[in-house]
Amino acid sequence: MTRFYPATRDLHLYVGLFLSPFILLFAISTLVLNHPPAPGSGAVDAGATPKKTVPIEVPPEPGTLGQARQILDQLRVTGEIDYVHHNAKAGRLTIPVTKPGETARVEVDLRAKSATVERQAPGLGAALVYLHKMPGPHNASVRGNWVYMVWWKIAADAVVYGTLFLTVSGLYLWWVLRAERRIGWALLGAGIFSVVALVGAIVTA
Amino acid sequence: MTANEILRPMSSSGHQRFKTWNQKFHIYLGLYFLVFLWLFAVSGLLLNHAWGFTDFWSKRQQSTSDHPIAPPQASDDLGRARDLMRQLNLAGELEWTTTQATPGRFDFRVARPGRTVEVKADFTKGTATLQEIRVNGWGVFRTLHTFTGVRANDPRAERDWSLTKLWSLSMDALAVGLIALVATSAVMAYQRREKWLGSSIALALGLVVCGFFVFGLRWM
Repeated sequence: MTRFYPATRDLHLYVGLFLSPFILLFAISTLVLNHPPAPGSGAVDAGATPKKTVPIEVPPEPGTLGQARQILDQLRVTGEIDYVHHNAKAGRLTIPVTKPGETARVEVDLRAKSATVERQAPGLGAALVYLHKMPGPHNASVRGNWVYMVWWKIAADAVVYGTLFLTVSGLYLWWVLRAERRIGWALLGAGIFSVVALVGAIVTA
Repeated sequence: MTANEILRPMSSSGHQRFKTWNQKFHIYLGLYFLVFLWLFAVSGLLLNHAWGFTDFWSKRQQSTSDHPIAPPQASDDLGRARDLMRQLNLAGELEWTTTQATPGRFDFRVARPGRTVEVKADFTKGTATLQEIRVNGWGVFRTLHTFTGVRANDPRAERDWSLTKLWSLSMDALAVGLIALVATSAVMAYQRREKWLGSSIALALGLVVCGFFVFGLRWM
């Protein structure tokens, strides 16, 4: 106990401080997600740049991630490809690309061998929300096609495991403080009751 | 200093009282929100990983049934949907799936974690067809993470169920609670002068790594 307690307390402090910017990221983006700005308020569709059409070389295998990435390289567009939509009849490709703080929509005319790029910079709130939701459950087969999204996935997992460590070490640090046990039990019980009652009401309604 | 001496008031000064109560507040907030935090942390992990044992969609239960209805008296869509939900004994968050273009037809969805019901009402025949999907506990767990009742770019999506409002309020409370936990921990780190070097390194590392993702990626 004499060595374990101070070591745990120091680790709780250091891990907590390291994770604190990430915890703020997830907390603030939760508030934004829970209270989204109204469409057309400027917060959603701000920062659009004019469309730009440029000639490109069309790589083989239309509609694949590999082809889309080669086209993006020519256009100097970087980011996570959300999906690739190939309209074979019209000879067109649509490639939405996102990274924190910037979205780009690339429309490719495969027959004319040209691509139109439209970029938007939707702001800090959108960047936080994007990171909060990524990688997420949607389009899981293509997710992580940009190396930095793979890094973010690892970071997001580490934040969860780090947070679980903080809660467990926090429980231990609280338990050692005998004077705080009674009120601690009451608050812990109140928290458990709140979750169980609310989830129970939602699920059984 | 022993563990129990940490919270013992050593003087009656305002500074000492602030220090003591800052630490108490940190502990109390952490304990109250502990299970909320576990719920959102673990469900967030599940959303980022398609682990086979958490699969719920392939195990969903679907059913379809027809029910007699009386035409609702309300003039607006929300009122009509609520009237039908009362007749059909449905509870949950209303979602608008289509524009109501066909006269005599009225379609909407009622959703809550674990259960989604598509309602297709035909006022000319006086019937409503319910297509119900139920998912298992993993599905409920994942849906709770995202159950806010609102969506960006969808002005029609409004919280109209009291439990959705309460759940989203609890999400807000957890977010504000986490911000308060970070603030109180920063105060405690500042007060532990003997740990300033380690604390500064840990905080700086966190800021650099997090800042890279938030601000740096747009330049990559």
